Amino acid sequence: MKAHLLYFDRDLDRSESLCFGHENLDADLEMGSIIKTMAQGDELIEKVCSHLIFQPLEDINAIIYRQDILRDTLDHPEAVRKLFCICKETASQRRMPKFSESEDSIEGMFKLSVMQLELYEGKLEQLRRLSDESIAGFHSRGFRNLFAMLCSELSDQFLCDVEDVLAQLGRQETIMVRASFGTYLQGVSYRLCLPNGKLPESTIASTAEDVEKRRERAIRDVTDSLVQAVGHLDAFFAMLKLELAFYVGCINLRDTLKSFGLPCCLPTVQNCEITTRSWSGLYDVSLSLAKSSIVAGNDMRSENCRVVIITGANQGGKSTFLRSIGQAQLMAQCGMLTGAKEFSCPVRKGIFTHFKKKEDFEMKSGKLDEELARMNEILDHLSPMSLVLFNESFASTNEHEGSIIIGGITKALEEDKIEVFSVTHLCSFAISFKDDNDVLFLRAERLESGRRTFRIIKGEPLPTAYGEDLYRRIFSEP
Amino acid sequence: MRELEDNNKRWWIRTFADEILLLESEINALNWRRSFLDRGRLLDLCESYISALGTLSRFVEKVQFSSEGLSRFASFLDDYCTGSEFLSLCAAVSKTRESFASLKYCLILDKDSIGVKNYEQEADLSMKVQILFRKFQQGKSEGYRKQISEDPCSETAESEILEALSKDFPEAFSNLDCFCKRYSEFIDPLLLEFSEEVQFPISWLDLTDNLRENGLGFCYPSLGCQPHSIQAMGFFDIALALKPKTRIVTNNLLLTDPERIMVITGPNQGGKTTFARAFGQIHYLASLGICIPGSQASLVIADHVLTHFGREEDISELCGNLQDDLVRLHDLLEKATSRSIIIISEIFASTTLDDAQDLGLKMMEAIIRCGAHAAIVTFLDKIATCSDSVASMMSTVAADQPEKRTFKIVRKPPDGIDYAISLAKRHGLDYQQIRRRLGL
Repeated sequence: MKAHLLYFDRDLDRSESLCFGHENLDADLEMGSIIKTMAQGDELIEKVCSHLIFQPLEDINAIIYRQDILRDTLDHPEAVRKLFCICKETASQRRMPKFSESEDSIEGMFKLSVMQLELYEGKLEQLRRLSDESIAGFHSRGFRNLFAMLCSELSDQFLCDVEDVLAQLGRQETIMVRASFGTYLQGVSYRLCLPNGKLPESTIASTAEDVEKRRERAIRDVTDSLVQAVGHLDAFFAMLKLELAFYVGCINLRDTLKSFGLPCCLPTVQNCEITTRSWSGLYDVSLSLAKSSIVAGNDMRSENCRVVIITGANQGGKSTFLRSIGQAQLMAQCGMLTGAKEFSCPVRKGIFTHFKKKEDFEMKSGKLDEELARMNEILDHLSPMSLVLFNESFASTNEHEGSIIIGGITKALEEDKIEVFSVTHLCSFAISFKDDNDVLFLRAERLESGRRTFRIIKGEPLPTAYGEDLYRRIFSEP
Repeated sequence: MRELEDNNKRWWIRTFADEILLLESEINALNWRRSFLDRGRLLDLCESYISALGTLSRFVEKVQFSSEGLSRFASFLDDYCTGSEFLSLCAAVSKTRESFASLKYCLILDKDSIGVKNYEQEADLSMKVQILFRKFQQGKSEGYRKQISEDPCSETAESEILEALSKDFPEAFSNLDCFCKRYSEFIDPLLLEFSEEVQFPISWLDLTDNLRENGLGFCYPSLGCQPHSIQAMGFFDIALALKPKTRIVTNNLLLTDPERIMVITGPNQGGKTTFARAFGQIHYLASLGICIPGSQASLVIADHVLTHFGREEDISELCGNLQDDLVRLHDLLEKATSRSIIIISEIFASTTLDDAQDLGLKMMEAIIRCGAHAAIVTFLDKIATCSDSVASMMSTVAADQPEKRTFKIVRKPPDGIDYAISLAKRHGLDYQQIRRRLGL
């Protein structure tokens, strides 16, 4: 019995490694606060979501499979939360200690596993009831399969059989075993059996110790089966719980954003060959979560532009915009919601960030070296249809050299069909791409008055970055 | 013996012999008339016996034996295993075993009593549980792996269960009774004898194996080729070698006619007695027909190996033991012939030097007269040079460090040096050493 709510063809494998550069993605795109919002303090949700977000899917069908399940989830949040809850209770109400077989007597182990199975039986009944109630309202392949499976596998007959067997095992005064002859004709291969009718009298007197030992032998085999059964059910509920955790995380995120009045949507994810990208009301989710309020959204449609160069005023929302693009792309590719009214993007084969490091604000010798080393590593993992986000990269050297470096890199990536978003102050670099029709130039908006709207609009690079504005504001000059 | 040095052959024969001896002792512990369990055990042991023979004869078919003894054994084994008696034994065992093989019965376990009943296809609860819950399996899962012994706690109860079952399954139990009556002593006496006798050479070879691993050699000596000469290369004291963590020094010796007697003098704790002991050992071991310590040897065939060891370390025995020494020496010389090997160590240590020298020379005369080969360890330098029948040998010290023994015994006339001081030095007890140790 496989739930398969995350992948249509396999279980979640938590041992799988995360994508290259996930630490940088996490820090640069500030994914942490998004994941925390999804988890709402639930450790399991946090683990599962941070695992999935940094393993972006590249197969559109796999993404759509999750999106469909998510759509059902968002339509029926209570049912999904309840499912998750049932699975969680199996752990919190657990009666049998895990991995303690060496310490426990066989008799103890036998009783504990029967008790544990009785608990599971109750949970299975709850699952079945929930499936009966839910099956009609859910439309995604994933949930329909799950509920159909639960309804048929947890049939009345099955639940009845489980109850019978557990009741039999609970009755212990007089037991019957089947045996055969061993090497020297001693009784061996004791198996606990279900009597067909009334048992005959016991006529051979023995010691209590001897009978006790025989009893242990009789229940050894069935205890093995019981412990295994508990193990199977542990694993079944654990897997279901893991898979549901992701969707419960999505409910949490949606509810939080909604409470701030922020929009969110299931993005349209397209084939990687498509060169169109569009967004409306796109915002930086982690920033808005931090501010607990509405932030400015951006609208745009780009066609056939593999390179996007963003220039303009300092503190005008360039980095925020870049982050919102990165967040939306990552979230889209794990089948999640995106922070926008609408978001449409092609699938990318790897998402990479090359951000100016905060602590490197002051120019230090060796910093360029570090930036180049980081780039070098990224380059080892790039392939056509990857996405790279640059944020003020190579500003650590002078304008001339920096421009040559990033210009060369950008040119090469463009030629290798790699999508580039680049926030930069390096004018020479930006201007050198002016004649390239496949480059989209964006600019942080600045009104005539000098006020920033924090919106990103189309616009060619200008040779000044409005540093003057900033200077004036900070020094409160008129 | 040489044939058994082949590890493979030795392993197979040892395994077989050990099994036969174990079976014999287990059979002796049984009384098949007593209970069905003992009858079952007899059947079980007989099965082991058949399988041990099968295993060995499959091995024997594949190899060629060169020694007379083992070849004879191989052909006996072949005859026995194809003989009618053995074949009917096999048939009886498998018939009896088969009649029990598929039988199942039920036991009812109450608080302190047990009931017996026929098996009527009652459902196995363990299977039921497995089938019911199998569908939830996600990957590998651990079960309850603890194993419990299937031997009954109360044999009396188990016998009574069998007693009751014998009425339910009369055919199987009567087959068992027939088997026991006819084959209660199934081990062939010749195989038993072989298994016992082969223990000696096998154990000896096992013992030498350990020493060989440490680089010590063993050889089969040539015996009596040169009736009056003895030669042994790289031989050592096997008793000493068997002590853990002992570094062994090997020695060589050569006695050529007319030399008969080695007189070994030299520093104490220099390996004299060890040398003499090893000399005795190789002759005794050679007379048993087994391999001896050493890389190569040519020895005489000894009718007796006679020893007289004084205990130089035991102070209490040093006083008043002269009489005992003489009595023992007399007895020894009574038995000695020209074909004997005599080992004498530290005799006459309890008397004055003059007395000891006189007595020592008398003893030498007697030994020379009888013509035996001898090794004599002594502090009496004089007797080392008393005759051309005598070869003088000495324990030696390292050339540059007089307190360090080499444990090599070489041919050398006695040098009369007092070695006690070097022994003291070895213990850090010479004057200068003590001063230094006391901080003076």
